[in-house]
Amino acid sequence: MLPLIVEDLSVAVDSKKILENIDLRVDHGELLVIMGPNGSGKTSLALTIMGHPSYRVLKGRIIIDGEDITDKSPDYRALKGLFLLFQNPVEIPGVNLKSLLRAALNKRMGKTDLTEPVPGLEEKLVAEAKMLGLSEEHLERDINVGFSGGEKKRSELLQAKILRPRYVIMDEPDSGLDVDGVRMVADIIRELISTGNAVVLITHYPRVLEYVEPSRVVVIHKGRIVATGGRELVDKINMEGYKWLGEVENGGSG
Amino acid sequence: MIPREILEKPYQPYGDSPTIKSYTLWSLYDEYYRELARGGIGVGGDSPVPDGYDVVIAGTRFVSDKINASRTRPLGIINPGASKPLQIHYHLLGKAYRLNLSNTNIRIASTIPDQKSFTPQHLVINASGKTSILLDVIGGFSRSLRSLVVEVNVEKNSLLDLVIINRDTKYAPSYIVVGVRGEDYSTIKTTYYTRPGPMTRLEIKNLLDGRGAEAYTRGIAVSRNNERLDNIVDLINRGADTYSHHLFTALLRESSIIAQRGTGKITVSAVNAGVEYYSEGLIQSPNALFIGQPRLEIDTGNVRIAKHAAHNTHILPEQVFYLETRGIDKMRAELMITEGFLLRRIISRYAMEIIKPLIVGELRKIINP
Amino acid sequence: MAGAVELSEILEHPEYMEPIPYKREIEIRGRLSRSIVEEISRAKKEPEWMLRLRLRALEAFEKLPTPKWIYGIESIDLEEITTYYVKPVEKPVEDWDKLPSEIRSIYEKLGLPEFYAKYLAGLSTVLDSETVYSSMKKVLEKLGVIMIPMEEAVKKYPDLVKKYFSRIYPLMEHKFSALHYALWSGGVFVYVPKNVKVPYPIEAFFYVGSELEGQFEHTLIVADEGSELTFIEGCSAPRFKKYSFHDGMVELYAHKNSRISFITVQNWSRNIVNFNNKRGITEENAYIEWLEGSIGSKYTVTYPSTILRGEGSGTSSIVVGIANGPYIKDTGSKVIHAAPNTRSRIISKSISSRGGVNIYRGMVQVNRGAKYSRSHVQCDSLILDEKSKAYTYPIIHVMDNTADVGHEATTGRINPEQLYYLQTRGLSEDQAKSLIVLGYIRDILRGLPLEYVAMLSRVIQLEFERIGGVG
Repeated sequence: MLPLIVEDLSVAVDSKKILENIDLRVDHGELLVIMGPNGSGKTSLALTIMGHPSYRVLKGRIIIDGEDITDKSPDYRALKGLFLLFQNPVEIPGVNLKSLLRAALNKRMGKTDLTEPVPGLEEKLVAEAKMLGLSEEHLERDINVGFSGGEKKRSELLQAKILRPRYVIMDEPDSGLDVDGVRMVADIIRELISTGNAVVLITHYPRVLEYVEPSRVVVIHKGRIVATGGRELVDKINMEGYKWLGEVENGGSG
Repeated sequence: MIPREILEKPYQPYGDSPTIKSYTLWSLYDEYYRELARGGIGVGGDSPVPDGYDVVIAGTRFVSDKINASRTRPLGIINPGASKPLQIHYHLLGKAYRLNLSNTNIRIASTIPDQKSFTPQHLVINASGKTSILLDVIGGFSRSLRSLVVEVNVEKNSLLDLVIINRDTKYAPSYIVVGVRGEDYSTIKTTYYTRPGPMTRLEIKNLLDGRGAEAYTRGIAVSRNNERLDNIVDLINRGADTYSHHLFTALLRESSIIAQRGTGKITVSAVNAGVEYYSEGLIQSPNALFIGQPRLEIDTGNVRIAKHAAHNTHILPEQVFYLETRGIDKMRAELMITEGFLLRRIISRYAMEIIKPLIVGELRKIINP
Repeated sequence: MAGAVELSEILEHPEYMEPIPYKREIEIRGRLSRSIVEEISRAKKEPEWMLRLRLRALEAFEKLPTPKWIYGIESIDLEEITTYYVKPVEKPVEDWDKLPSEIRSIYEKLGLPEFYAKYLAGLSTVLDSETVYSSMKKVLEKLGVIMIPMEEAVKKYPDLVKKYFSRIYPLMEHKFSALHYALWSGGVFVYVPKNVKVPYPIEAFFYVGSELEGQFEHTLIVADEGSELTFIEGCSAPRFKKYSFHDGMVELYAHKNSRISFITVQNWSRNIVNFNNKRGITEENAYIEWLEGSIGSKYTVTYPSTILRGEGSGTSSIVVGIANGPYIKDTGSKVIHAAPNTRSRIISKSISSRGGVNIYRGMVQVNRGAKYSRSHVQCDSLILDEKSKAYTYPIIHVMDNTADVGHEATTGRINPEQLYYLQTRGLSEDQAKSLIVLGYIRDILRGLPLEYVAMLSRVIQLEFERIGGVG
């Protein structure tokens, strides 16, 4: 299976440029970690890859499985196997997790009636939810309405497990979780990698990286890639935070 | 036929405000009353009897081979003098039908005659034990003005699951009044779905007289073209420890108008009572008008909870995007969100079973032209 | 077969339930004659156009129906108006000793200086020896701000006045606005020139107090492009009035990019039925802010309103009603979004106690084409005891699918735990209540001059501690 490639990508919201000349590549079975301070453009990158309508691609391409999806709709990307685990998923009153997943799976099976029951889904959902620390009641509740930060993450993870994507972008999957929760996220990441997924992990603090080994690490600052490396970058950020980014910038321009 | 003094009465506006005079197009009703007075149209008549119902109020005829209307005490939940249309209703009504229901599930339909007429229909129900009622108010293909009054008394410790379906046609206005009273520790669930006609006035009154009685009303409306709905829901808590909750969600398309108003009231006698009243409109056309007027009247400081809110809502682009990232296309995503908005928080399973397919069908018609 | 029931049996039911009795209306006694209106105009030596306006208003008053939406029964005696207002025979009170003892004792408790108390009580018409205020007057003159009695303005700046007078609040609006225009007298005219920002809030009470304290006063404020003004009318200290019906009016016009804050705290004696008609218009990017505090009077009806006519303009209304005792506060606010990207905010806080009734009545309308307008209404009522009441009557009209309009309201009581806690710290129940009430409204008093808030706080404390004296 072919990798997820981002090629020379520049992006604007309204007339403001927020990402410039981004190049990324994640192969299957790999974990790419994207780090950077708050507001550096990490989430914007994730939303752009997923096709958010507010993010306008000025130049460059996004390619999955050998296909240029830069101009494709978000649902098309999803059906191609791309999955975004939202940092802060929106509330949708009246639509519960169960009916969402039923619709999403029916769609993947090419059904026209998205409300049709999916054989085996119920049992699988209950079992997976339990493993993720969600109760059956969560499956009946409106998506994200009144969910705590942790519950939102768990519900996103549950969807990732049920929908079986091939390219997973996780935007701060560990924020709002306790130590056990962070370990759980690490387990899921490992499981995704071992089953052949290409995983992009976006994170501000490298907590989850105590439990999982990155293939590559990229640091984004002010919408540009400012450093590329491996584990040593994580350790640096662990020790010094993001203060050194100022230097990198100066060094780059001088 | 109608005495002059009633005919000349003004329409008593509900909650008349300095700016807003009325939300009901009274002129449409006036046309009928004037024609009645001139003898141009008749009162009542026979109408079709659809299959699948236990009781049919066919025009002014009572049809049932299963249930006998029996004698119970009068209820008087609806005040015959409360409005001009009600005064005319009581004046022209010949007979009312009473049903005594206990631990049953019954389906009632109301139909109107084929010719232009005035059709007063009146049903009095006493419910005990666990009772569910489907009241299907079926629109006709004639210009008959339906004037339907239903009064329900729910006995002590009893549970009523009332589902009202009202689908008016474009041919005639209607005036529907449903009053439900709860005795001690009764629970009333009223779920209604309406597709209004040129002018549908739907009044629902919940009187919680008994101690600890609870009422949950859940209203849903879908309006299109030039349809117009004036929906009044009053929740009146008169017994101690009573609680009532109302939620209304409406979808407005084209040039339709929906007014949803009413009063959540806690009287002096209702110590430690609670009332919540919520009203929301999803407007999908620059020409539609949504009017929310949830009123709160709290007569005692000894109140458990009193809240109300009204607002217009939107399908947020973020919600559509979220569903798209799960692989659902844009149109379906919008459909799902709209469906969720209209069907959320229906606490009666019985009502959900009946109403969901109707709304899903309606939305398919709208969104897949 | 079905056994039908005769209608007569139903109609014979002994007691029909009347869950919401229809409200009764205000009763108007007596008549106003054309000659009285003509006499007022003649005495004021008014121009012809104003007399014609008054007569038109009188005609409208006779024709317009009495509002049906009013709570409770009240009567208005036009005879009294003609006796006390048109031909005043005596000053309200001649001396200190003749003031009602209740008011006198409150002045004493507030610790007001005698000259100030006398002024408040209407015993003197000028507040002398106050140099601060006269220096303020000089500042205004220097800035080119016009601030003169309304009657003087009609003669001195006829073109300017004519351009705005009665154009913001139409006389046909309702019966009492018509009555106001027929009989108006007193009030202030303020004009702030282009780009002038008045640096301090104007406490108008101290300049033109007697003008603002009329029975039918008319205040008109025009803020020219880019100007700013904060205007405080009224006074939180109790005010004694001899008459029993007040029907004043305020018109605000905020030109492009200007800003007007209009602040009122009313604490009149409990014999008054108080109608106060207030409305403003905003042009492009202008802002009008209303703060309406209502403590006194028997029955107050006031809904400051703003018509957002210019794109990007906004308004906020903060309405505070205190009904302590058998009084009614029928207050609220109204906003009409008539242009795109307009925004509004209404906050209402009410406190009902000892049988008091607070009514919030508000309306937000988004006109067709007022794209992306936003409005939020928050309405909180506090009921302190079982006898008191709080009603909330909002209206929302949304005619645009891009608008965002919401109303939220809660009604509740004081948490007994809070009362208990404060009592364990040595406060009496009434002191505790007044402390909680003050906390409840404190956050919305931000931005008011400090001494103003201090006075208001003392008045509210007294208001609630008096309960202790009674019981």
